[in-house]
Amino acid sequence: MAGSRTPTHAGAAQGHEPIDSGTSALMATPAPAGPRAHAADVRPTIDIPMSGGIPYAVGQASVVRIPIPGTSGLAIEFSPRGWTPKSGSTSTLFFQDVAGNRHLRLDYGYNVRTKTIDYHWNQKRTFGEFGIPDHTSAGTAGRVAYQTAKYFKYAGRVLVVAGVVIDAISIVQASKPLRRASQVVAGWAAAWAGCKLVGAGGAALATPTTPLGMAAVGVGGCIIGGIGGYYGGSMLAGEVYDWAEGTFFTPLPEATAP
Amino acid sequence: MSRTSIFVCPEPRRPEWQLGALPPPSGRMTLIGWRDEPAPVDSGVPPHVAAAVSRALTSIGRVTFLSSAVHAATGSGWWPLKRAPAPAELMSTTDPQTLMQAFDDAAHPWSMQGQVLLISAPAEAPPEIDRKHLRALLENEWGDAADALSAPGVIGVVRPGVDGDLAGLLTLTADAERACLAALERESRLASFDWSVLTEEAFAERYSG
Repeated sequence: MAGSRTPTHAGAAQGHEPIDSGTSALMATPAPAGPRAHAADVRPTIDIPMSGGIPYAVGQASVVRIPIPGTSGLAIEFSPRGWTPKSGSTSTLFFQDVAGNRHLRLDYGYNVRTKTIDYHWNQKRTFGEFGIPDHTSAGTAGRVAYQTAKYFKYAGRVLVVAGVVIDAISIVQASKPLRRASQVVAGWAAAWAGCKLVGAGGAALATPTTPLGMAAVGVGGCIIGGIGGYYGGSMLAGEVYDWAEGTFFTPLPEATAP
Repeated sequence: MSRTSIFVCPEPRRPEWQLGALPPPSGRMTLIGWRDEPAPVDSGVPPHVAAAVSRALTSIGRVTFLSSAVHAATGSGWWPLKRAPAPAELMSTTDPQTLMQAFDDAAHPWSMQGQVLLISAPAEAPPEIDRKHLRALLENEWGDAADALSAPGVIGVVRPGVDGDLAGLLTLTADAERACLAALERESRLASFDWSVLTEEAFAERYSG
């Protein structure tokens, strides 16, 4: 028959399966050998340590008090001051002073004014700043903010731990552990300061009559300031370390007084 | 013109008051509510209502409550009790002015259900209560813990309900219940407040109306 070829076998070790002409065998073949590396060709890889900066800076926004300028000590937080039940608070977003004497909090539960279970604001002594009376319904935006704050509180803590772990590993793996440790510690401190500073700026930009907007901008500012602070602090600490390491002081030769 | 009313509801059943399982396993529960007109913008107990309730409770007994105003090392008669995040001490008093602090203590916030008032006989020493029982009184299952309080001489327990807008009065004896309600009615009338005993439905209605 024209065009036909005698069936053959695809490899000696394979099964004896007849194949038609034009069919390519699919079988493993040894890979071509790569170029031999000679000692002279080996180049050192660039040492870029991994960093927990971003998870740390993002996560710390859930634990840092983000100050709100012009409110006599109020700050944005995700946990209440004072006693909290084992089951946790029914509120997830707080604008409160350090003692908890003054607070505005986003709460979910039975509202005696509306006789329904809803998202609402509870406040004490912050009406002057926010203009929101106790038991004011928070609406759909409040529901979204409540749920976001609820999950961010826990996710943020996980991120902080992850950032710390990654930074710790980077110290252990670094060729200069002391230098890397200096960078990490300076990064954490600067991240905290950056969070406070930029977060407060963000909160100040938002109008006090919209606490949800203030929280969003304040937390966003905290994250941005935290990331900038972390990397800025790390870079500065590295420079200072290198300068200190490469600087030697030699005593001057003694000379007789004229 | 401002107007204040105090109203009570015996034997409530609804879970929305956030006073644990109702009815309680032992004793009798009574809701204590209040309303100011015009409605205040702040949460918590209005000072004039707190004053009337304080006078009523101290007229029938000694009241022991969580306080951040004192520290165990500074005086006698305090029970040091530390629990994160704030130090917690118990204050025991028969003075209504002192008791008013219980309604406005940021470390034990009334409006976040972080306070508890223990009523005991006035002539007796403050009830000896350990940390475990005190903590249990602040949780949802506080009715079970309150049951064990009769031994140290407690006759009633007051706890804030949902958002601190009302209080739950758990009395462990019938005499204590009668005495508490009589004292509340007397002090309400002396303060020129409206006083009423309501059904649970009417009680809920008074807040929203």
